[in-house]
Amino acid sequence: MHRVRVVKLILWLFSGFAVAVAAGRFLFGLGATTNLSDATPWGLWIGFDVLSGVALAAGGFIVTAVVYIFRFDEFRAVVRPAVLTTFLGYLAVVAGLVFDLGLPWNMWHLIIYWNPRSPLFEVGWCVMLYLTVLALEFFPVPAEEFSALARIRRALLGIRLPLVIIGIGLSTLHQSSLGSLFLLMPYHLHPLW
Amino acid sequence: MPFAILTDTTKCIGCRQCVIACKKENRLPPDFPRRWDLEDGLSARNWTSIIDRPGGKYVRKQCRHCLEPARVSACPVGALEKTNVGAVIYDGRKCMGCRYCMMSCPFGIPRYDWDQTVPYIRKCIFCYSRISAGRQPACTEACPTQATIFGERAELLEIAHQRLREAPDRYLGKVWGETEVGGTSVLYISDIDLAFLTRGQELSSEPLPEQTKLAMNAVPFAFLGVVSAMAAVNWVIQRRMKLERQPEPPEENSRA
Repeated sequence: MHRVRVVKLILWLFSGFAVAVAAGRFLFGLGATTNLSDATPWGLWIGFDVLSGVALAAGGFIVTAVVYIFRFDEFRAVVRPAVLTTFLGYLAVVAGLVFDLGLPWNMWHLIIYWNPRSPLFEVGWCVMLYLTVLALEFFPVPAEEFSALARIRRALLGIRLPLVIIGIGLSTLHQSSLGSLFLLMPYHLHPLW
Repeated sequence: MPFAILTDTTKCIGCRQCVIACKKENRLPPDFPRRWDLEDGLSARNWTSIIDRPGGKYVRKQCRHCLEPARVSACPVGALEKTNVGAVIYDGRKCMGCRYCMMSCPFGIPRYDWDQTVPYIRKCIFCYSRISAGRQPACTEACPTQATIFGERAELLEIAHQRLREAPDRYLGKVWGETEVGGTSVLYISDIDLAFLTRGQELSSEPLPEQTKLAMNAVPFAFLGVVSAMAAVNWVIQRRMKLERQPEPPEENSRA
């Protein structure tokens, strides 16, 4: 019991520190709270979180594909945790971007100002759409608790297969466009790439 | 008629009148060194700079206004735009601050308001309002030695090549910006190698947006392909499972 409390305390300290830095970012700007500069405008978290983190969240689409498309029904039990982790993973990325973007309140501009030639535009749209799909895929689970939502739940379960298929398409695109991001910066990359 | 700027570094005396004129014209706040500045003197508050090179040479640095700018096709919300007068301009109202343009510019030009809570991308905008009103940019107007001049791109290219022809031992025989990354609107002729203006590598003559065009054009087909493949696989598997559940036809039973 004691050990749990210590761990909890440490985690709370971390969270408190993070909240303070997050507040500082909006009070004093990115320059005061990060080590970003004109030479390295993207932080490590873009490479780690947004690029690798999202790749780790691929569990959702792999497992749903395995169970619903390829019908390996013995894996059905892990669908829920997989979808939930993916959903939370993507939410975390978006939450992180709120602090990373210079003008996060303009994030929705992706919806009205289109630039289909931009790989980042594709990434943004895939994240938005895939988040929606994940939310719809996961919604039936909490909805079990509320009989009032039974009808919505049944409707969502009814379109689950198309949702899963769209989700696979979206995340395939999304993961590939993360790679094409770097097509535009051949002079910025290590020659090995 | 796309406009351009031609900078002849052999004529530059390093007086920095262009820098001062630029700051005045664009009402840029006074400059003081910050942690996030690069060595080249460009910053959110300095849109052009004079770089001192060994041997008493001065090279003016500014946005090159590429003919096919990488970051115009990088910006997910289209906040950067290549106008038909040649200027690459920025619309802060669209920008969401992802800084992908800074990552993709082969010349490392866009700078950021790191010290602001509402930060924008900052860079030379080719005095867009001035040149669309038929005037020349503040920097070329201010230059006392005509080291940096304004004009139509085709004309300036001709002038540049003419100077190279007339005094071949005075210049390195190359017009910087004629073909790199598809050509730029800011041209240089020089007696020293200007490779330091880029990130150090030799730039290919292929415009960077070409690189993503292929990938981006494939997107709808990839999406439809994956989706239909998944649907097809699922249909086949579902059908097989259904057939398995049904009693098998009698002739197959007899064969077994």
